[in-house]
Parts: sequence; C-alpha cells; structure tokens
Amino acid sequence: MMRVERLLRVCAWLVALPGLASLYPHLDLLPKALIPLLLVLAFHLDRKGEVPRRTGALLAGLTVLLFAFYLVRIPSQSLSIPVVNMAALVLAVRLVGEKTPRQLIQLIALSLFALAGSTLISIDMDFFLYLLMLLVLVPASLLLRCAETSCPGLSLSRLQLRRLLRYGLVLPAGSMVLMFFFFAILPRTSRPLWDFLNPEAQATVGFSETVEPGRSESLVTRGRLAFRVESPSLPQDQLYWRGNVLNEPQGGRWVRSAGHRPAPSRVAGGRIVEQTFYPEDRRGRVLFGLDLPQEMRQVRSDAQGDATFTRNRGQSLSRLYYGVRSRMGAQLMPTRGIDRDFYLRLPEEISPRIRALAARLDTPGGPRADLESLGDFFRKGGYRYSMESLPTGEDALARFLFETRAGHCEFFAGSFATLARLLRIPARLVGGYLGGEYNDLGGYYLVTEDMAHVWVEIHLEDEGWVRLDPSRFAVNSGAELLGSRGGNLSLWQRLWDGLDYAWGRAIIRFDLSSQVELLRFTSSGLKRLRGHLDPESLLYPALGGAAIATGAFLFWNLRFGPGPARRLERRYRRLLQKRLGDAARDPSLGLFDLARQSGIAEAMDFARLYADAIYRDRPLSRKQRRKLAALLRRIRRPREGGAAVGKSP
Amino acid sequence: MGLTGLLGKNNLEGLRLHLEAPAELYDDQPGLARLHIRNAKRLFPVFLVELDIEGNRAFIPYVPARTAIDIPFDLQLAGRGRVELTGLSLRSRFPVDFFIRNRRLPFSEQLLLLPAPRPFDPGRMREESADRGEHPRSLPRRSAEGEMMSVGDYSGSEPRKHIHWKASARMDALKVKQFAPGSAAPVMIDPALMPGGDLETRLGQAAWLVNLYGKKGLPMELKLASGERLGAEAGSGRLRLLANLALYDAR
Repeated sequence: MMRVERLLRVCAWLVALPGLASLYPHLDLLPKALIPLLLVLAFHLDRKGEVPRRTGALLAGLTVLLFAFYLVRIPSQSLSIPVVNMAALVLAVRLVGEKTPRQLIQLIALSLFALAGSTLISIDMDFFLYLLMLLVLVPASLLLRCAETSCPGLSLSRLQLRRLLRYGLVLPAGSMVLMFFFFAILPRTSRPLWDFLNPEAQATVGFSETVEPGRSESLVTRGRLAFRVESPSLPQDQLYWRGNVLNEPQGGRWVRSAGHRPAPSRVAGGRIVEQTFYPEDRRGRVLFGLDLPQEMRQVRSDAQGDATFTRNRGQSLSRLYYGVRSRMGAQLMPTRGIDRDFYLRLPEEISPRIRALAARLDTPGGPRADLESLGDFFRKGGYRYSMESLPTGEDALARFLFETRAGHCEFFAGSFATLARLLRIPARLVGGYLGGEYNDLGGYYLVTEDMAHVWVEIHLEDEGWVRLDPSRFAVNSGAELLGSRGGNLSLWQRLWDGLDYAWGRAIIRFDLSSQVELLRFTSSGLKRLRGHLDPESLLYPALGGAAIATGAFLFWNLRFGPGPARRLERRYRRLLQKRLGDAARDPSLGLFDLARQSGIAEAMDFARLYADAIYRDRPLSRKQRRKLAALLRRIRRPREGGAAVGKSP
Repeated sequence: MGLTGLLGKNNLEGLRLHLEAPAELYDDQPGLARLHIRNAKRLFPVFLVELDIEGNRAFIPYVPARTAIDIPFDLQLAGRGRVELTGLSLRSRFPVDFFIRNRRLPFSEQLLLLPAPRPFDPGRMREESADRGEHPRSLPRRSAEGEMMSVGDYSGSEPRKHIHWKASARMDALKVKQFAPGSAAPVMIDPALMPGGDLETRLGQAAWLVNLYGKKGLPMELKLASGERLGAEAGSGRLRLLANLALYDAR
C-alpha cells in the first residue's frame, strides 16, 4: 500500500520542475544561483519531513525582498525579464515549504504561470515538451490530491494507484484534443500581443547590412538559424540567397546608398523556383530570395531595380513567412542604362599598391579581358579562404591582397569589386547567404547565420548584371567555403530540426491568416466533396464503411460485450418482464424469483439450468446454450396446458 | 473543466448498492454491516466515492468496471423497531476536486433496530422486590441445578459444597455459589417489571437480560405487551426475543 500523502510530495516536485526548467535559461545571475540552493534546501527538508516555522518565515521575507527588488527594476527593463525572474523564485521558494494538498494547488498554479511566463521570451520546442509534461503531471497530481482530500490519510494499493493514474490519462488526452481544437478556432491577432512587453531586440545577426572587410568581429554568430526555405532540392553551388545590394564604398566599408535609386531591370531566362521563406529574425527589413528573386508574395514589399526587396515600413513580419518566385541562373537586365559613374565610384582612400595592381591587370581587350586577367590574378595568387588571422585596419584590403593572402568572403568580394571599378567595370556587392542544409524529411533548406556570404555583381553591356563569387577563387574554397555549407546534418539532426520546423509552422506561425486559410481550405474541400457526390462513387466507400462499422461492432461485442451467457439471461429477463409488467423490473429480483412469479415451468427450468452452470463458475457449453435458447423459445410461445409452478406470495 | 465535469458525472453512474445489515443492530450502537457495491458500467471504473446512509459514511476508493465488491460498513442508527433506510447519497470530488458531485440513489433497506441493552444489578432488584413483598419474576430463581449465576453471602443454610472457597479466601468471609435454575424452569422476562423509569429503559434492561441469559444458555420466556408469552429454548431463540423486544409496544 502506498500513502497518497507521500505521493503528493513527489508530485509537488514533478510539477514544479518543468516550470522552473522552462525559465531557468532566461534568468538573471542572482536567481540562477539562488534556485539550485533553494532546491537543495527543499530536498533536505523533505527528507527531514518537516519545515521549521522559522524557515517558512525567512523564506516569506526573502520572497518579499526579491519581489521588491524586481519591482523596482521594471521601469528600466522590459516587463518580461523581472516577471520571469520573480515567477521562478516564487516557485522555488514555494517548493521549500509544506506540500499539503492546498499548497500543491499553489505549486501547480505557479508552475503553469512560470511556463506561460517563458513564452514572453521564447516559444520553442522546449516549451512544448514542458507543456506536455505538465499536461500529464497536473491531472495526475490533481487526481491524487482529490483522493487525499476525499479521505485524508488514504493508502492505495499498487493496482488501485495504477488504475487511478491510468484513468487520469483520459484527462490530458481529452484536454489535448480540446486544446488543438480551440487552438485552431480561437480568434487570434495578426500581431503577437505580448511583443510590447519586450524591447526591440538588437539586430545582432550574421547577415550585416554593411560589409567591412577590416573588421573581423562583424562576422556571424555560428550556427544560429537565419531562415528556413521550403523549396525543391537544388544544386548546392547554386544556393545563393540574395539579400541586399551594397553599392557604395564609404571608407573601408561597403553600404547601400540611400540617395541612389537603381535603374529598373528585368529578370530574364533561368529556371523558375518557388520558395516559401520562414525567417527567424522578424525585425530585419531585408527580404531574401534565391538569386535572382523576381517576385515576393504574402508580404507587402518594396522592390528595387537591383532585385532587392525590403519589407514595407508598418508591414509586420508577425506573419513570419512569405513566398518568393525566383529564376535560378537568370540574367538581371537593366531596362535602361545604368548610372556608370555611380557604379565606378571608388573608396576615398585606396592603397597605392591596389591602384598599381589594377593598372597591371588592365588590358586593352576591354571589360571581358580585364575580368579574365582579374580572375587569373585571384586564381593564381594562392589565396586562401579563412576566418582566422584576418588583416584589420584601414589598409586591410591591401594586406589581404599582397601579404596575408587569406580572408573571408568580404575580403574577396571587397577587393574584387574595388579592382573591377579601378578597371572601369561597374561592380557592386551582394549580401546574402550561400548554401543550406536540405532537410528531405521536411522538404526545406535550413540556412544558418554562419552561411552569410557576400559576392559581387559586375555589369556587362550585353549581359546585364552578372554574378561572380570571388571567394571561389580561393585555393581551399571547396573545403572551406562550400564544404561547411550543406550536407552536414545527420539523420537525427534533420529529424529534430524537422520537428522544430513543424512546431514553428503549425503552432508559432498559426495566426489569423492561417485560420482564414484553414477555413477556406475546409470550405473548398467540402464544396469539392459535394460536387463529387454521386451514388455510384459512394457505393464502395459506403460498403467499406459499413464493413468497418460491423467489424468494429463485432469486435466491441466480443471484447467488451456481455457474452453468450449474459445475453441469454437478458433475453430471459426481457421475456418475463414483458409478461409480468413493471413489478418484474426490479434488478434485485433473481432468476428464480422471476420464474416463480411467472408460474411458467420452462422459466424455472431455465433458471435451474442457468444457475447450475453460472453459479458454479462454469462457462456454458454449446449444448447448454442450445437448451437454454430452446427454453426461451418455449417461454415466448407457451404450449397449451404447459406445466406451471407455484407462485410465490 | 468540461471534461472533468463529464468524468465526475459518469463516475457516479451505474452504481448498484445493497446493504447487508448486521444480525443484531442495537439502538444508537455501532454495528458492522456489509455493503455490496456493483459497478454496472462496462468500461469505466468508479473512483473515490463517499457514501452516506443516514449519516453513516464510508469511502469507496475504487470499483473496477463490471465488478462487485464488498466492504465493511459501520452502521449506527437511533430508534427501535422496523426502520426503513431510504436515504443513500453518493458524493464524489472525482476527478480533480473542482466540483463536488452529489447523487441520491434509489435505495430501500428494511432493518430491525433492537433496544440498546442497559445493564443493571439484578441482585438489587431482587432485594427491592423482596422488600416490597413481590416475587421477582423477571429474575432467575436460584437453584442448585443450573449454571452458577452469582456469588452470595453464606447464610448458614446452604450446603457446604456450595461454598465458593476461592471467593471466601479473597473476601475474608464465607461466600456461596448461587446457581441459575435448571433447564426445566425458564426465566420469565417481563419488560413491564424492569426497574427502569420509562419504557425504553425497561426494554433496554430486558434486552440486556435476554443477552445475559442467552449467552449463558438458559431457557427464557418473554412476556409481551399483549400478555402473550414467548419462549426461547436454552441456547437458541435469543434473537427472536430481541426482535420482539424491538417491536414491543406497551400500549
């Protein structure tokens, strides 16, 4: 036997831990340090079996102090950070105290509050896991609490406990169905309501809207997700995800000119590839697309002549996904002449060594020949793609070209574009991402911040803007540049990311427009179904359905049904009730009572035969069943002058 | 919330209860009854049900589906005579104590409540009756045939073999064994002659005597209010006399 009171203590821990775990990674240093200590204290006191009064008072005081501390900090911080810190601390303090049924309710409420609080910061898969845990643990705890309240000091056998808890699973199972139902239909906004609690986050991502080759720290955070793109599988070396175009050198940096309006252009040729983007950073305004993007859908955007798209101001990306139509391998042809002077503008200070190099590379054969010699220079120069030991400072490009000969894409692209402009070839940088891990389980590319990339576009009179990736000239580009940008995920990683992606798609991004889409889909599905409703097409599904229903009914009857003996008994009772009227409906009347009351000899025979088998715990044989059935038939149609038994008073 | 409501409602459905009263249940005294509980539901067990019959409570932690169980049930009722129990209510907080659901079940059990036995000193009653010059008919006359009934003072006339030596040694005075009358002479118990003030007290005293003599295996006779005499052989019939005491009416 197990005492329910003891089990409630275990439940208190099990319920509190998911709440604490959901918040712990987001806590300040103080609560992060305090909570483990409080848990150790709680465990110690639980083992001792009592909480000293002084400890309780001390903890209450501590809670008030911490509350005041975080209350004061609210004006200087976003609301969510103090709230989650307070929630976690109060939960840990509560865990130290007594664990009576009443306090268990408090713990459950606090743990749910903590989990809800964690959504102020992030709603990822962890949240779902903790939610599932609480979904199972909370009803189980409430069931046990109910048992303890109904009968204080109650002990349950293992079997009873198992059955109670198993039955308790009906609650989360039912809740889950209702949860998904309400999730789908409850009205929601097209903008996250809680966003006002958090300050605008800093745009600290790998993709940068400027390129500054001499500043190594401008590089990306490794491995952080940039976006996912639903798309067919494409050749790995063609995965250039175009972001923005940096067309103006400013000192050592390349930026996008605010004053210059690129000439309109059209995207011609190439293979059409439809994609759906799910960006991770919702605050950046640049919209990405496979090079060359032609059209953005499901988002109001501003398309520029250089095939860059930016989200309109005021257009929320809470929608969190958008469609892109691209033409892979297409040409970007300006529809009128480009501003050559603008695209030949040089940085204010160029190293004399670079100018001398450009002069050396200049050929009389025109831009194509110049490009050839520029390419040869990089190809034969033994340049290496590297993220370490990068030259810094104002003369970084010259040091890269002539001394270290190692750098990342910004060095390659920056120096190439500068040299191209010195050779009077219009050039600009394009920022975006290169590569992607294709998840064939979900049919999408996973693009992380360390895949951020810069390449060059040069303008040729008859070809328009042509993409050129100077980083590919590096001697180790195969391994360092392309090798790390795809095909590296194991099956488990793909599976996990697929789940995360599905979570994001199905839960996080389920907004008002998704609801409208769901409604449309359902209504069009119903219309289609109605259109196809003709008797012939329905015959086979109807027959199949009937067969399944019959099978289910038979299985149900065999598995859970009354069994042949019980069925015979029921028929017997029904027959005699029909004869005797309401007086025979009393379920406490036995078979013999009914037989006596009816006065039918066959009824008495039935009762004897049945009782002889059943009350001795023997299953009815086929012969006995047949005999009983025959007796029932005779009871239904009594023979003239049939024998009768004496009626009971 | 809705789901807990449905489960709670379903939990109290399909219960059939039958009370098996104790053979002797005295007025306002606890007796151990048995409660047969049958869960007629096909799939759903019954959990955590509190049961109340006229203020007598029991707790049923679990009854599996399509199963009957027996539990002991402490029953204490006040009154005398035939009592019909109709008030059976079930109460359950299941599943999560958000709601407490109550249900009254159709229930009808007839019980016979016996008068609560009230002990008294028969020796004193005999003396009082003797003082009044009456013959104490409700008390067994002493004899030398039956079982030893009590110990009395030695008056000098009793045979020496009746001296209770052990008691005499302890009390420092000669004591003699006093015997109940033999099987041939039943003890007459007349509730009207009991020393109690009111009828209920007298019936209680009579019940006490019935139990006392019944346990000793003495034959008894009960004089009913109608004057009819009801006999009980030695070692049997005690319950019949008690039942008649329960239904005794002085009017």
